[in-house]
Amino acid sequence: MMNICRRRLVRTWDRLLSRSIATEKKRRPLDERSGWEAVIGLEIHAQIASRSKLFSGAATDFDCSVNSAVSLFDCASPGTLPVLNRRCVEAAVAAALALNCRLRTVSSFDRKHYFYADMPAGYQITQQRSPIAVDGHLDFFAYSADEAPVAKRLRIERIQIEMDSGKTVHDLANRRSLVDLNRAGVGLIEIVTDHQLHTGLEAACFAEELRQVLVHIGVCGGEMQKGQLRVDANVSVRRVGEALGVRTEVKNLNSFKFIETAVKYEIDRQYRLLSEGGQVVNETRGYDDEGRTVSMRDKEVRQDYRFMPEPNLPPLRLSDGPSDDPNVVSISSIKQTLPAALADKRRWYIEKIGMDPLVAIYTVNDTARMKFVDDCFADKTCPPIESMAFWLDEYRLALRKHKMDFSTE
Amino acid sequence: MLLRHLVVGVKRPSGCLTKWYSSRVFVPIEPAISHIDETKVKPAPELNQELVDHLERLSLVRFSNEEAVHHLRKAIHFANRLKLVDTTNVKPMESVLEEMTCPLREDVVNDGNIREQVLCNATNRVEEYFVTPPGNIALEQAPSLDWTNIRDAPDKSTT
Repeated sequence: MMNICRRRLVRTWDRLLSRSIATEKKRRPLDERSGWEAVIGLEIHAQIASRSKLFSGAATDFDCSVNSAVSLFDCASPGTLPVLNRRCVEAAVAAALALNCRLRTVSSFDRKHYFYADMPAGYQITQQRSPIAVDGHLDFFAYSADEAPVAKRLRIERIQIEMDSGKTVHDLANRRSLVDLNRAGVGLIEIVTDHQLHTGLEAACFAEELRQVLVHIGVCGGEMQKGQLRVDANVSVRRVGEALGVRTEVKNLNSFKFIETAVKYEIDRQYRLLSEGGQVVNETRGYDDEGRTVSMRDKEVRQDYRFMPEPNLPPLRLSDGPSDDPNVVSISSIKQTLPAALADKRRWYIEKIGMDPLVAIYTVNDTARMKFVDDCFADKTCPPIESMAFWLDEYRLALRKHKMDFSTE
Repeated sequence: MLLRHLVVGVKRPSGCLTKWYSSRVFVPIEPAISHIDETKVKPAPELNQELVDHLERLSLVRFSNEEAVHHLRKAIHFANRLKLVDTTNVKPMESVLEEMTCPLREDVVNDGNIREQVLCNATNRVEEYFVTPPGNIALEQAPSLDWTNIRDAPDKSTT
């Protein structure tokens, strides 16, 4: 029974995540293949779920008509000044706590300069020298349709608050670009991980877990197709035990499937280059519809961001304990509002309830489903734990027939 | 950054110093002219076409002629004087606001919806979009300058 459930669940997953099923041979990590290994670090941009922008009172609803959610600050009109959104600071603190980071009671903002049409000021306000949080970690499971879950931990290097850019629509037929500034100035948290991942699958699974955590604590909407969560992957390949190789950056991966296939493609490409005696060029790469990475000539120019302290924003201060200063966010009061961590919840399902690890991961990966399962446990008519996966899947199919989901009462 | 360094590092006439310490005023009340040993100032580096092209691209400022590049060298030389100030164990002051706390505002929508104002300076628009050339166009390379002319120009600034 358990096995049938499990197989069925895996199939469900496969549909859910639409992951490509690779053969065993293809999946084998590089180091087993040849004494080489891939080293991957991620930079994740998560849009903060707030009503107004990071530094202005314009709405963050950028589905509204073009260039209407734009204040004079967002279009960089001279004489305007940034005023920091309290909600964005609280969201960054919540994310830092959920990712086990060390929060810094004083952090500051910098200007990162570059010229691009959707960045009217010519610089982005970010936290380069003094980020709000550093040195955390997130536990996740690396698994796929044909690989059992393996528990992993990835160190988080830093979390910083920064502003988003506008959106450019490339009108190739007329050889022009169209710029909409509705997104310009929306609050982001950038999460930079250590380079401790080795496969595309690990990268995709980590990103998925991170998404769940951020959605769970209400920091980010997590809808990747809307660009609410964007992932850049730094990929390099080296011989095991040697110094890090030259890396490339694969930009704007906006689905878990693309993270897996594009990173895998990039590893294979670099491996082929290096094993034939070639060299990897340090560059930014995009990817096409099939997950192949392609050089982005656009950004090949030598970059020098000319970082400088943002002169219009004093240092951002947090307090460990309660705070009566409206300009100082209290870490302890944010901590009190956080729901139970997903990892703890999962451990509870596995250890206390006796749930199969796969089923536990599956349950936790959807907030509505998790609530449904919790309600089931509270109810005496709960099906036995052994057949939980079977019933969950049956119920999911039944719900889908009626175009409902687990959030329905 | 400058003010604090002046207090800590630079030697000045003794009368001026006592005045500072008694009144705790950090900006000199009287002009305090520091004498700079020009022989110790690191000369500005040789500039070449490649570096000037790079600087132009970064700053979007065109060094249109030899005179402009000469002024740039003078500016670098002037800035190099600051390196004579001993800043050991002095934490750089990034801003006069650094003792303050960043003010926070509540998360309410009270701005935007001013599309006509936002677009009023656009020279080219389609529907409600700004229109720009496709892709990111790096600054085009300017014609090469007469480098012998710049190198022969006097190095010291006249203050």
